[in-house]
Amino acid sequence: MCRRGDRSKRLAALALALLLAPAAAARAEVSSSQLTGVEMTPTVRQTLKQLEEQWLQWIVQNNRQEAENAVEDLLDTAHQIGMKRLPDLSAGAVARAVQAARQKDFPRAHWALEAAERFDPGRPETAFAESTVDRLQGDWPGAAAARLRAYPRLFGHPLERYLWFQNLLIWFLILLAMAGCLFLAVQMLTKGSALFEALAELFGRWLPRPVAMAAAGLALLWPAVLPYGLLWLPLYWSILLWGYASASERVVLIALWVLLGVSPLVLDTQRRQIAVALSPPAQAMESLEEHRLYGSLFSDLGVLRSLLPRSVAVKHLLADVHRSLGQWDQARSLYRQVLEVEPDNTSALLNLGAYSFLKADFGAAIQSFQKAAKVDPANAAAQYNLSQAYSESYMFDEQKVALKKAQEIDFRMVNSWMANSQQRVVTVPGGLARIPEIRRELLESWSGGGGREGSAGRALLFRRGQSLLVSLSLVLVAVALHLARRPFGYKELTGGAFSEGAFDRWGRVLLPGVASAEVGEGGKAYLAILVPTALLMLPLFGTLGARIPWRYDPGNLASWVVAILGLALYFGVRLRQELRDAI
Amino acid sequence: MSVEGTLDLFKLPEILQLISQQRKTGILTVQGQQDIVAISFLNGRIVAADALNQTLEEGLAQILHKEGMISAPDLARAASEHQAAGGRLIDLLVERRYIERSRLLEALRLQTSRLLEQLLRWSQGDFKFYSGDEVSYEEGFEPISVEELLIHAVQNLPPAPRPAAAAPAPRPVAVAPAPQPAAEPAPMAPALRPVSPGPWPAAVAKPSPAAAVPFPPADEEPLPGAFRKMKVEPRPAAPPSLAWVGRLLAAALAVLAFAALLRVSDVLVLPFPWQERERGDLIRERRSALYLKIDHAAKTWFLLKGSFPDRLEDLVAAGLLAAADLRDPQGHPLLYVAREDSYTLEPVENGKPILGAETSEAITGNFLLDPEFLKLSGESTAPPLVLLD
Repeated sequence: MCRRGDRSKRLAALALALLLAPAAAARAEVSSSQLTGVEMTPTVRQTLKQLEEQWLQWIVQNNRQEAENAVEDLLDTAHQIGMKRLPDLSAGAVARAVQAARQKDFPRAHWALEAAERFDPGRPETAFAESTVDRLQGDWPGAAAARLRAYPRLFGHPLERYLWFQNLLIWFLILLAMAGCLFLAVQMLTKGSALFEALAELFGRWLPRPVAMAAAGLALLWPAVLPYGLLWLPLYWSILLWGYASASERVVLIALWVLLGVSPLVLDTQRRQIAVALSPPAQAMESLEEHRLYGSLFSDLGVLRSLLPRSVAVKHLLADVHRSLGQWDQARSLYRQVLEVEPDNTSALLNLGAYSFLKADFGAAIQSFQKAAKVDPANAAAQYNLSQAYSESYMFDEQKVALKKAQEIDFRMVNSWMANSQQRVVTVPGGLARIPEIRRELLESWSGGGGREGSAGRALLFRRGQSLLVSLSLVLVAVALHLARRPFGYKELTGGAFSEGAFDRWGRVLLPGVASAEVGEGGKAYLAILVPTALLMLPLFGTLGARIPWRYDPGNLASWVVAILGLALYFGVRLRQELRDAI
Repeated sequence: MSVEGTLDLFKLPEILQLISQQRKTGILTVQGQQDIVAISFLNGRIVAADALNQTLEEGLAQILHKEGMISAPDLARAASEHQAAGGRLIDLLVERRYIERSRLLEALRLQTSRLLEQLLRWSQGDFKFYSGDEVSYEEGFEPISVEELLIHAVQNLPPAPRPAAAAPAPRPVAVAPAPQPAAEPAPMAPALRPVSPGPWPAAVAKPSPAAAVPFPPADEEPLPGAFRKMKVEPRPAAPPSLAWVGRLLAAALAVLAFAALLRVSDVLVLPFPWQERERGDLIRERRSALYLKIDHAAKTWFLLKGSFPDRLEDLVAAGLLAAADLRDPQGHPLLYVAREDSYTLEPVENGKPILGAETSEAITGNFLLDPEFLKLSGESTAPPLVLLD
């Protein structure tokens, strides 16, 4: 079995489950699932071996035509086991193309890229690699065009798109928090001296001025010496500044405190969803949905079976996998297990009937199809298969009735089935359709399931809610402090954040939010900080969340370009406004 | 945002009308030679006015007394009670039943009007308008429209000023001139109807030379009667030695925030001490994703070369990884050791591996890379039985 580092650790139960799981009903000639993940007949292994050999042939080809033939052979072989895409080989071809381009073998680079596109069409990695090849070739327009073609492709694949949006969420949360810190810094810039003066005056009632000022400094900075002092310090300052803040600034402060309380809950949910998305079983399922065959697909499916050994949906899925591989005996065993739990499962009944039909056991086939038709009278496939089974049993009257019923249900589909001479009976990928259900089961098993019941569950709930409680407490403390202090009055905010002079203007241009904070416009100040902070943080987008497992790194060029241009535009507009106002 | 300028450039009536027309909320401060007046606007209407050299209590007390709303002994008693009890004089007067609140508000409105009428005579000084969401004012105070104020100001204009050398003009702020009930209509008479604004009266728009210099020289003796000499107070500002405090603290906080972003970004969203476990989980998750990316790259390399790369940098050079992928999410460099059919990765901190963060990957289980995976034992190789979906 594939060792997968952290993933294996998260799936600590996996190894144990594999050891403890009852041996699969594997026949003597079938390979052990502990080696391959799922049982495989020699025929399937032969097909996979053929793929490996054809790939080696493609690598060593120096002739474009022969290389294209090798690609055709590879895809034909993959089709034999129901697969349409070969992502590992596509990645290999991309790497080969870049390698060839670096060796100035540009023709080879281009036909390698074509092969990569055929192995796994629409991948962004292929377009990014094409951009690299064009750049190495000196074709800059081509490189730019390829890069432009690549970016939309980033969102064309479910896993990568999902991870991208999850990363966007975490980036946005960090952005909000970061802008919040800077908002607080601007508040301190505009109101800090008044706060300090008020504290110095307070201590000045009992202490000489120099000592009072030192005491005021200590009163502002003492949380820094606490454990996690650098966390408590901004929170403490935000409470002290509350009294000096306008209504809109207070709304921003409350929103930031609530953000601190809510973000752990959001992140925890997101983390578990990403863990599931990146897990080998989830990758295997996604690949099956897209008919993608990658090297460790079968091992990863083995992990899925070990994680959810009792899941009927998993058995149904694996039955479909065996069926598409042509391993009907393994498929039949699993369909039967599905029907033991879900006797009215139409797709399992249909596929079991198809097995009997192919084994020429038409009586059993008719039985299965009849039951499927009874459970789902509107199922055209059930009636069509029934008609085929009646036909093979020389029950032509029944055959005609069944076929007529099938055509009444879905005339067009039935005609297309009839036109396909290679297909005698119809099979239904009901297991593949249950992938969302399996994902939910995986997520539940990841969440801890029964392991976090009782006191442990309550403790977890308390820990998650603790941050929210602290956030709400901050609001209460700030309000209480303000109400207690208000009768004594606040030191009036005087002057701007900067002394008058050249830096006064430049400070306001270069430090967004200061001008708004000076007149107490909290929302505007926060937004003024948020925009440049977002632009500054743009190049960090790929590193703040989970790395997307691209097979050819797209680089960070676009982020840098957008960030630099955006910042230049933003500060240019601010400068223009400032100069216009001055005039 | 704020608007500022000097009274040389814009006359006060113009400024007031602008604020009124635009229905602004905020505070207009006007700094003259000897006083500063702050006027609070709510939706373009005046709801409060205050002068630096005269507290609200001082002005109000004098109005109450002069308007006969409260007797001198009561006022004296209220003042002493106010001194003893603290709080606001306004509240005390109402609480101790010296005067009804409606009458008090009436007096406050009168005082505000008179202060503003005096202010309108200023022709020199600086103004600054601070726009905001809200302003504070006495609850129940009936707002004064700018139009109403200007009409009254015209009606109450003093007689033609005497030459400045002969006698100084009336002092603009502090205490209003003694009321002349017979000649002067009640300032806020409901019967007063607004008239067409028309051009500004010459006395307001173009102040007389005397009005242009509203304050007597500092060494001049105070005038007797209703006017008192105002002391010159500098514009309140934080002492220069303290201005740096806000800047320093702000800079420290900004540096802290950026350092956290670059070094421990998760702390920005999971900052509390009890979230150690969540932070650890998040780091582990990010590390797993990074290891998966490296695994894809390493196995793609294996697919082409038949072995894992000697160094991770080879994967970066091949374009399969980014340079940033050579460090774990906490910024620790990754120690990579390749073997014939497997490799290990572990982040290193100060030359020592971080326990529990290592991973090991192998070609096992990958039918494209692992020769053992597809070992055939000579069974039947009949073509598979395939049905189309």
